[in-house]
Amino acid sequence: MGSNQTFQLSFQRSGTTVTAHVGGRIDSSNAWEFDRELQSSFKSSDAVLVMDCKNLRYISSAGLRVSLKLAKRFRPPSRRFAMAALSRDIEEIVRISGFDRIIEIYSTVEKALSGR
Amino acid sequence: MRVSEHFSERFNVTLQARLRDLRNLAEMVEAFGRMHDFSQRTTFVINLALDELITNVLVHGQFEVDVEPLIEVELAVPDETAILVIVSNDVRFDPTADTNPDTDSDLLSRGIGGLGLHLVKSQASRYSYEYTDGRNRLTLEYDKP
Repeated sequence: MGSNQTFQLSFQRSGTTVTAHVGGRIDSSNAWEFDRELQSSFKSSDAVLVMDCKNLRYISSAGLRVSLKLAKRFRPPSRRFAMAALSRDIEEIVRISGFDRIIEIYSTVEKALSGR
Repeated sequence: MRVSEHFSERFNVTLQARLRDLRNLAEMVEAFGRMHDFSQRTTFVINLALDELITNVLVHGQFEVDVEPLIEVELAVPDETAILVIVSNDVRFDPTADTNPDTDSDLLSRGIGGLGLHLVKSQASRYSYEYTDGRNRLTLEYDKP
């Protein structure tokens, strides 16, 4: 126990496209830290952000709030934000929140990057 | 965090006002879930409920001046249903009342107020609230955990 009790975050950059690999647990006690680390990692020229959630085990509404903030920052028409590889449990709360209607959701990072 | 009865048919935990207790609690729920063969979803959903409800008390709860904030959590599986009870001594607040979360408006105007409670209520099979002896008592039930 303990190893998955906080979040992990790493970035991959290709031109103006950023993939954020998110893992672990994002709850109300660390969502602010997650938000701060993400927001300080972008350049103003970044146009596409894909959030890879393959290793994300848990997220609460505090973490969803951060995703919404990112979606607003990377909004069309000049930018894109997508979430990819959500677990079934996380996809369920994204759907109950109605986020699936305002955020692009893909089964894999590859699909999220290509937009289809 | 004080654990008075641990991992038998039920567990019972008393928390003080600290968000970091949430992670210890999540580990306990995971261990309890493994003992009782909870599905992965049930463990996730119960942890989400605890996270949202306890955070709500700690962040938004109001306490009388002479009251030390205290939250009690009990989880039991008496039958084919997991029963989660959260008791807190903040001033009367009914989380089952309509919170009107915004799940429809477009991206730019989308807000997130009330979303946590909306998630908790959507995922429970049944829920009920009562205020007795100066305590808020919320009961959440999950069928076929």
